[in-house]
Amino acid sequence: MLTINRLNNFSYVIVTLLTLSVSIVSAETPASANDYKFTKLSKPVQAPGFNLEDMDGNKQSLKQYEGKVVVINFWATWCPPCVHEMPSMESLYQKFKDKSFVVLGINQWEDEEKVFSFMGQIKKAPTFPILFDPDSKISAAYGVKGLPSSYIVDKQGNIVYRATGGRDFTHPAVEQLIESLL
Amino acid sequence: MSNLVTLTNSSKHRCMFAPLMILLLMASPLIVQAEAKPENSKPQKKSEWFSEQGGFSIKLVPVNRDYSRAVFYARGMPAEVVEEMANYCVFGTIVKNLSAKPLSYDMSTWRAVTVDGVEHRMKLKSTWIQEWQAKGVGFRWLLLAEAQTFEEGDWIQGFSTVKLAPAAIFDLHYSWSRGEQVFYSKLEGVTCADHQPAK
Repeated sequence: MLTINRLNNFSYVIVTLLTLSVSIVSAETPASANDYKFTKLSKPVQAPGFNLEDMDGNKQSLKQYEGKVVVINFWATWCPPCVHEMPSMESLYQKFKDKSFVVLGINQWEDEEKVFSFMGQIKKAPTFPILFDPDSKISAAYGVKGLPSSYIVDKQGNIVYRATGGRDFTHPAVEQLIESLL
Repeated sequence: MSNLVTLTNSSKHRCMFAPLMILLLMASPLIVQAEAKPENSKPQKKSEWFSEQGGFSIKLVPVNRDYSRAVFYARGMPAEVVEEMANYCVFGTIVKNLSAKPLSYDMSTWRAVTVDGVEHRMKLKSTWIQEWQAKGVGFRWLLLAEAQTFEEGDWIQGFSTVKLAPAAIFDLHYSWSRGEQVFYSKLEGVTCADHQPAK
């Protein structure tokens, strides 16, 4: 009984802290003067393939997007800069989705239920495909060291640009970069 | 005309009250100080430490143990792992490359030097991951990557850890490099979060 009470109290603390953390961490999410910069790879490398479940439980592979420019974004709901950049990725997707362009948000270590409830809480929920990498094997294959990390894959399936940390995907420089690849 | 009279009277009143107002204004800082002093006699606690030099920026925000517990429990980590992390001094840490050239950092060379002069190594992400894997935990996020090369615009945030007591004070001696050139700096008086036990 005592244990249950302690657990309940601790749960309360957890909920309170998590609620607080959202506001604390949101304030942390920084915008730098160079938050639109993507690094061009000196030599493009073939993007590691994957076959992951989406929100509807259907499998999606990178191969099915061959011939399109793909932004692959590794993210999680608990990662403040991931959440911060999500609306700007959605804007980019809306701008170019009819021109052989797609954004794939590859979630790390979470499930559909968690992500579904998260989608209801954000201002501009993504309409691009969200895929699940529950054991982080795909992010490991891409060499991701921290979230968020983004990769731009050209129509030939090669990684040509990458970025570590949140970015402003609505910046004109990013839009120009995508246009140059289309 | 009546407006003019009113204005004139008003001006007279202003003239009469002006010396009194000036006196009050001069005295007000003293009054405020006198009122504020007893309540603020304790020095204000710093809640974050930040430095930016040569395009490398670092920010540390102390994370108390219950917050750390909450975050790791919420990721589904087992109690054993969560409690081990709660024995550490944890900082929310943001490092950025604000320059136009690539730079690197390697936390294995960083040291937390406590007031007694003892150097404490940071506990690195790879060490945590190894321990977690030995316990069958595959999770590898939340902790700051211990070494990275950042291109322009790159940055990262995550937890950094060092085995120190709650409220321990130390100077963080850290470094980063650009090409062959290594830069050294320190954040002074960094303080671990107080222990706030769950009620």
